[in-house]
Amino acid sequence: MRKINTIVVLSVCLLFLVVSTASAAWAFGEIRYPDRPLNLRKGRSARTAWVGSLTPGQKVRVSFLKDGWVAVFEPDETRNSESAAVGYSNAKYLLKKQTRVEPKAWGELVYPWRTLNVRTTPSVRGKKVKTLKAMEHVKIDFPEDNWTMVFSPGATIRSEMNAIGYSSSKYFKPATRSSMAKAGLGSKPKVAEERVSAPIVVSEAVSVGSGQGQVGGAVVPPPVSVPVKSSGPWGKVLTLKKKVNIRKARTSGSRYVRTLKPGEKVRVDFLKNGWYAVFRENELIRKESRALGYALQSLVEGGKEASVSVVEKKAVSVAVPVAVPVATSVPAAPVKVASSPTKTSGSGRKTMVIDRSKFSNTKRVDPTPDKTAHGYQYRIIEKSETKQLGETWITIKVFLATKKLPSTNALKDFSTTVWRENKRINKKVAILVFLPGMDLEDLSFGVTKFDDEKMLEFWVRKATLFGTEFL
Amino acid sequence: MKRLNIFLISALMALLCATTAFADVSKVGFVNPQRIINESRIGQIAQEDLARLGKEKDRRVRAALDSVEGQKNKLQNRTLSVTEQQSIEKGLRLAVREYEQLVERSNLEIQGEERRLIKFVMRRADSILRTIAEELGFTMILTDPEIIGYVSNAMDITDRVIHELNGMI
Repeated sequence: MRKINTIVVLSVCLLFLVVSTASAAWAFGEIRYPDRPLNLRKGRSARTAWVGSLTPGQKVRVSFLKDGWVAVFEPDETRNSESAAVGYSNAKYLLKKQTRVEPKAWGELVYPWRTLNVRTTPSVRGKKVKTLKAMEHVKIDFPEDNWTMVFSPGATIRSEMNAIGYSSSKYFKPATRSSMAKAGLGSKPKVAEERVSAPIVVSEAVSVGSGQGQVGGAVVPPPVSVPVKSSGPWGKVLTLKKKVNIRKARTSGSRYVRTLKPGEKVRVDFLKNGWYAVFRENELIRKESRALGYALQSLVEGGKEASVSVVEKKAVSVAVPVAVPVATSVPAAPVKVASSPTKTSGSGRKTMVIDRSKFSNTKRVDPTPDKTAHGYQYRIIEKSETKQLGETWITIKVFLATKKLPSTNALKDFSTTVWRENKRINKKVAILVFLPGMDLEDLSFGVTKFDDEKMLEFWVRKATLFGTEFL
Repeated sequence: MKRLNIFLISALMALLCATTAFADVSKVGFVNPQRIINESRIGQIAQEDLARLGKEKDRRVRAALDSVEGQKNKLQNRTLSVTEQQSIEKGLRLAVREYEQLVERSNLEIQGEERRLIKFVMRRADSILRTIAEELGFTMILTDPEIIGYVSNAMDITDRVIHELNGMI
């Protein structure tokens, strides 16, 4: 009997040793958290191409430290090779502990309605790297014309180097609860996690069924969302300094819900894209669906006047039913009013005088932004009032400091905010958006026109990106 | 008087010599702006931009037309009172006027935008044009195909300009 016991104990010890060794091998590098929004680069230099970004507090695995730069990996990456890196970042901004947590959702969960090839380049000439089956859910981001980058549904790092490849975006449909259930993804933590728009709660607080520290204590997966009633304080309680409009969604174009008066106390949480979910002050349950609505962070916090009482974040996240993004429909109707594309000759000959002085080789310095809206830093360069075809127009030139080409919706939202701040009764407003590297005296990139009630039209001139880093 | 005549003759001679000398070194090139717009990548992008504007204008025009149709349909309701009918007729007239104005303005705006985009592209081509002209020793470059009876292929630098423009994207 004693012999058997000895054998059992020895076997257990041996097994433990083997598992520990295997785990150590699996958990290469170490887990780090950026202390600020951090760019990912293609190589170990700030001069190399931008490939993606990390949000403050985002968990990443780092390894291969060299010249102060580290290779960044998905936190659950097992391939101990630089070829699996999703980018490079300066090591000094990646800390061992989370100091600031500002998660930001990215990409869109979609599925192809037919089998679909994933290619190395955004072209049918690109090499096939994978074939997605119908209903196979993936994450997409970095759209480019009719192509988009495809990521695995569990990808957490937004980086071009993290993508599987490119696919034509027209074959994707936005994921729905039913599509996810059909694909058997409904209960999988990774997918659930990415659909939840709530910030990932810092793991050292409460982690419900997270399986914390499974590999040598190095990997701390984000808590799995479980419907639990919150027991502790959460979010921030703020006293409003000015009137704040609450909206149905995180866009200024969404439906108005109500106006909160100055002095009113509210609880805010789920900060995302510069918008807070706003709750009643005495709300006990941290659940986004219980919010009164959404309000701009800058308005709620009232700039420097800031909050009165801030309750430390220590909450249990709740499974939130998140609206699945709806695919925007593109009007495919024939152009009735548009004249035929550009013609310089023919019956209607035009003589144009090209002002040479306007196109000198001197590079103008971009203006310094002095305001922020929707996560963009911007500056109003010029505001003028003119008569165009018998109508009075207020024209506002805005310089938008961004490194990534803003999406249509982002630009619409941004323009709407600028319009709201500058609109006047019975006057139409045109917001002209310029991006870095553009000639501010020339044509703008974005043109958004409003009357005194709503947006009338929106379009962009891609040609104006000539000579900038965006084209 | 004699002195004045001598001066005038000398001046004429000098002018003649100068013209002859200038004619000896002048080299005229040609660029076809229409081809730059149609064949360069930036020109094509500008055309796509214009088409997008057309679509957006078309969307607005269709919305205005829908409003007109909506008013018309309301009028077909036979249970309307006289006051209601008058009100709808007024609304219809207003909607028709707005629709017509929108169509007219949209066309004008598209034409204006077309000109602006052509200018934009040609300004970019212009900077390249000057560099090529200096490199190849042209003293003059013509850009209007309609005033030229004949141009040698060697003088046509349109392809070169398109190539350089495409290389900048």
